[in-house]
Amino acid sequence: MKPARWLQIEHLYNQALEMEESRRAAFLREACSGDEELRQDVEELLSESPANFLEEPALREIAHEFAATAAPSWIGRQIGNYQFVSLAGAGGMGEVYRAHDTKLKREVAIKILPEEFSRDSDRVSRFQREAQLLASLNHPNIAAIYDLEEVNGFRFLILELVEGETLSEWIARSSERKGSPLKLKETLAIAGQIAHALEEAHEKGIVHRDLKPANIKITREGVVKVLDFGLAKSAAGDEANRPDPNRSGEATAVGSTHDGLIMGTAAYMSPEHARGGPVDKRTDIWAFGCVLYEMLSGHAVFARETIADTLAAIVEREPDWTALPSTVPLTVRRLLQRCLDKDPKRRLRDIGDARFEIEQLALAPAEVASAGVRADLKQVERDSSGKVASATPRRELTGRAYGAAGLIGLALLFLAGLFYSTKPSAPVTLPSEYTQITNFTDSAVAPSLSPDGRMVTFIRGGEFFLGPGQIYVKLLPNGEAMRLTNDMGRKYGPVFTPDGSRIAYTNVTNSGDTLLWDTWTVPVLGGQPTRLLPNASGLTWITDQRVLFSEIMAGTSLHMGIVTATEGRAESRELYFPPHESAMAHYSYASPDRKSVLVVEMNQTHMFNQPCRLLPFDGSSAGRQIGPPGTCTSTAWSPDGKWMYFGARVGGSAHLWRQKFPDGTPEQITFGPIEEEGIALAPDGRSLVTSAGNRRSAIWIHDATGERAISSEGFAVAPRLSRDGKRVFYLSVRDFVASSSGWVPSSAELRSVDLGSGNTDTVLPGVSVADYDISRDEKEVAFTTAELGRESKIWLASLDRRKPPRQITAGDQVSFGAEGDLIFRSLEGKTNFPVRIKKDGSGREPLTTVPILEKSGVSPDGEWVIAYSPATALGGMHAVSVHGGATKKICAGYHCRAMWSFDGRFFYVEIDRGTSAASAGKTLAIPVPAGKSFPDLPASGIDLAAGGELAGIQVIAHSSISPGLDPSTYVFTKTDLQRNLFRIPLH
Amino acid sequence: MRTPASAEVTNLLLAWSAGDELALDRLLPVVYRELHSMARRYMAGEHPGHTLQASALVNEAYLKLVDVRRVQWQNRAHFFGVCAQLMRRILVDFGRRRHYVKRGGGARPVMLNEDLVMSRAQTTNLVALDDALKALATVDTRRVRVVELRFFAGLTVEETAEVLKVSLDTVVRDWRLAKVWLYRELKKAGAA
Repeated sequence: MKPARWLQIEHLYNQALEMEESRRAAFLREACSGDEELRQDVEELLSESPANFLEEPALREIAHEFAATAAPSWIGRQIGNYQFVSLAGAGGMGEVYRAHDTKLKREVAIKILPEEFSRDSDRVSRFQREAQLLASLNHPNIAAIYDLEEVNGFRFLILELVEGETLSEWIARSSERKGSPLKLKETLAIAGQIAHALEEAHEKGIVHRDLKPANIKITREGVVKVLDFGLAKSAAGDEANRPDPNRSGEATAVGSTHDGLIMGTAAYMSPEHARGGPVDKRTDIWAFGCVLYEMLSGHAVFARETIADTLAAIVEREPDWTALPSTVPLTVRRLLQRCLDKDPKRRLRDIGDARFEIEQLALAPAEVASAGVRADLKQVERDSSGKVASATPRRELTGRAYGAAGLIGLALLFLAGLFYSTKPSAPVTLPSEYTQITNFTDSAVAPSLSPDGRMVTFIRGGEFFLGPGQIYVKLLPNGEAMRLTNDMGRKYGPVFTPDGSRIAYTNVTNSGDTLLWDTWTVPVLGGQPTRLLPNASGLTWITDQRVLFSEIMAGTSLHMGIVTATEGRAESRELYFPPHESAMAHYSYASPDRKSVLVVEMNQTHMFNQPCRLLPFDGSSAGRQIGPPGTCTSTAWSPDGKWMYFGARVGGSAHLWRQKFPDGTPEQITFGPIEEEGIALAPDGRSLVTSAGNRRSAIWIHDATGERAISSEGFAVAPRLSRDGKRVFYLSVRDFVASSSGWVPSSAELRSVDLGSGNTDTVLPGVSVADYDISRDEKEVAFTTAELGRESKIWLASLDRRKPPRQITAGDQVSFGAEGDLIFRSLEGKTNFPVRIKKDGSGREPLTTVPILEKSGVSPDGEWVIAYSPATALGGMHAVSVHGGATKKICAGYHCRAMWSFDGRFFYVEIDRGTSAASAGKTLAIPVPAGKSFPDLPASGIDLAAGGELAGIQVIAHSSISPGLDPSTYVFTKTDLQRNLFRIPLH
Repeated sequence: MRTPASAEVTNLLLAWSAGDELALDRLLPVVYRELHSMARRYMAGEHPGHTLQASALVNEAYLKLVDVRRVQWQNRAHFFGVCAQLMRRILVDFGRRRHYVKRGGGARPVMLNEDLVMSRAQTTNLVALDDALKALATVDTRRVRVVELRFFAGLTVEETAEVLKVSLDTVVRDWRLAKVWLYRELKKAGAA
């Protein structure tokens, strides 16, 4: 036949086929125009009916024959200790037999390795070693590999015999129950056990590489057993990612399926495996996702008609998420998405996270049973009966010994410091090994490392908590520090998202009269920050999709506790709320095994003045205080969970501590004059990053001659200019606590400096003062003493020291009110109120029934008190009348404080409280019309956003001022905070 | 020795597809052994009423034998083509040996369970088919490729179209004609 002839035949055949049969003969006669051979040829072809000819692929057609060329059966034979009972499954060249071990009297499964395998001594010894490693996997959810034996030149792999159905069979059987909650529960129970098995193996560095329903069995007791662990790899060798033909014997013998589903391998292959890329535990995580999807939907997620389509689907197609029953909870959907991320770098990193998520669902059975797609915010309901009531001991003590309280407090702190400062026997850190990471002239605080430890995020230009700084990121060790935010929000707690692509941080902003404590995220590479979760602060990830954070309890102003939920706030569960409803638990860190949580919390007066807390993650108890007996401001876990690290102020200085979990003794690990705050453990646990430096604060005066420093101490705060302008009172601070208003003194000496001579005088020798006020006649001083973990006390003393201080009551933030009155912040039951009391301790009464957060200035006539309340009834900064509780709004929000000049002619409103050199703050000086208590303020208060545009105001470029008689003279605090990040190796 | 054999197979496949017939001699035993084991595994796991994915065996062979790291994803079509030719060689070779055994030739030490073979429906005479394909190849190589891909490699019409870079209609028409033509040839040879 000639090609031309063939073309003619083809042409005519196809044409003829397209017409009605009755017309074909005539058509061909005409078309062939006498070429009878051609006509006959085509007619013949048209008449053929090959039926099924060639319709079944060749190999399928002859597979039986292929298979029939079998080796002799082992059944009934006794080899060594093993009596072969029956064929349990076929594994290509290595069948799996059920056998009886006559020596150990147990049933086993035996895989016979092919002869080719046994002939290669290198491969045998390598496989022997790997089989021994695999045999070390001892887990109830992993079918054990007992041994590799050689008998009469044959090699056998002795395996645990697992009876029961395979997961493939289970899936087929249970597909009719698709969507039922019972099935969901069962599915999760099985998936949890599979995850357990993988977790165990991954921890030993063993990757399954061939996980699929056919390799998973479920016993009658419901125990899941994963088969053929790691055999695919150990059989294929280290370099080879797929079983290779020269070793096909071992590969198929030991890595084969039990039910012969040949498509099996391909359908569960990860994209990187399909592409021939390197394979690691993330391939198992992918396969786990495939298996879970199949259990939920009843069909294999990427299986297609052919392998080419299957591979294409794996590489290119998104799973059909709509195929999942609507009962599948959002957490599970997101878990699947994380497992089936085509990019292994973004895929769920740790199968332990999947196991954990599944266990969490078991803890929240209601969620599982309910419609799962619902991701609505769980309404946190206040359960007053469930909360531990905190009785406030109110002791009305008077006439204590001079300064006793303060002295005892100091002595206790000192002793505590001595006792707990016992150095570890060998130094954990060496100052010579510190490596500086940043070099700023202002501050870098709150460091946190990316999951891979290659980047650090921190806050620059502020404080570790609620500071005015901005979020930065830096590639370690020498990358440029990049600013990611530029806004007014008070920030803290920056952390990387689990995939390292974004930074989440708490951003506290004003919204009308209330503060929003929200978590925002910003891309590491820069971009628009976006709100991740409202009413969520101090947020950290405990898995790829579950977070731990602080939440303000609904119905309270600032009762903040620790909750866990998904990123979308589903399955929210309370872990811990401090007993006091004004207390706030701000930071929380789950242990690596997620069984415990370390918490940094504020007390009811919004100060970090207590140790850290260790809680059980299941929320079964409020746990206990832990770490050094001081002010805990930061905490961290070592990656292996064996150590707890703390940043704490103890005995007047801030250093890092650590303590063996759970019951070790706290040991200080950094020392010296430089203070450390914040801890970020490197992923290898061999170093940490902290913020080291010192705070300095000096008192300055601004007058007609300019500005100059008037204090020489390291840290001086809270200046107050005397009425005659000749003297300045201030606090020389020995120790602070962090509070919601920044660092406030916990222990300080009240001093005064004569502006003419420069002489400094200690006003109350030996008394440790936390805050104070000078009476209008400048003859008395009211002050607060603070003791760690105890209620503050208010004292009154004469400035001429003729009478010893006497304790008036418990409370803080004291001011002189109208004649004979003191006005202070008091804890009444569970909340803070502004309260007045006579100097003799009588006539105590709250000024308002609305709870407040903070009390500031009192008007010169003693009629008005400035107080900040987060409560909706009195949102923002208000002046509260001493008589009858009338209120006048000063400004919205929190970042505003107000006071009067001595004579009441000027009203000062601090609108931006700076706490660093970069942000000195701003104060408005507003004239008060004669005969009035206030300037004309808008009914809604001063608009902070507009910068306080009011007639006749003067702007003072400082905050925390104490005014003189007019705005030309004032004293202020100049803070210099220099902190930089350091890496400290740990020994 | 340490070189992964899949790399070797890939090399041999590339060499063979580039015209090196000697490469096939080294390739065949490896692939044959692999196919054999897969076929047995498949048979052992086959349940009554359980529909086999038609091209599964070939596809698995492809996966096992070809080092996909060295095969560009978009070129898998080409490799399917090469694999299909390889399958044809192997299976025809198997058919030829089966033929010997049936005729009592016993030239190769192949153990055969006659009962099993006889219980199966009549199978295609692979040797005769191969001869017919050789004849067809003298006038039309495309239809030979279609038959190799559809029958020996088990590809679907769509996949065949993709490999040959022709339309679905073309594959359908080519397949239809090739089938009747080959059928007639086999009938003539008394093999159908």
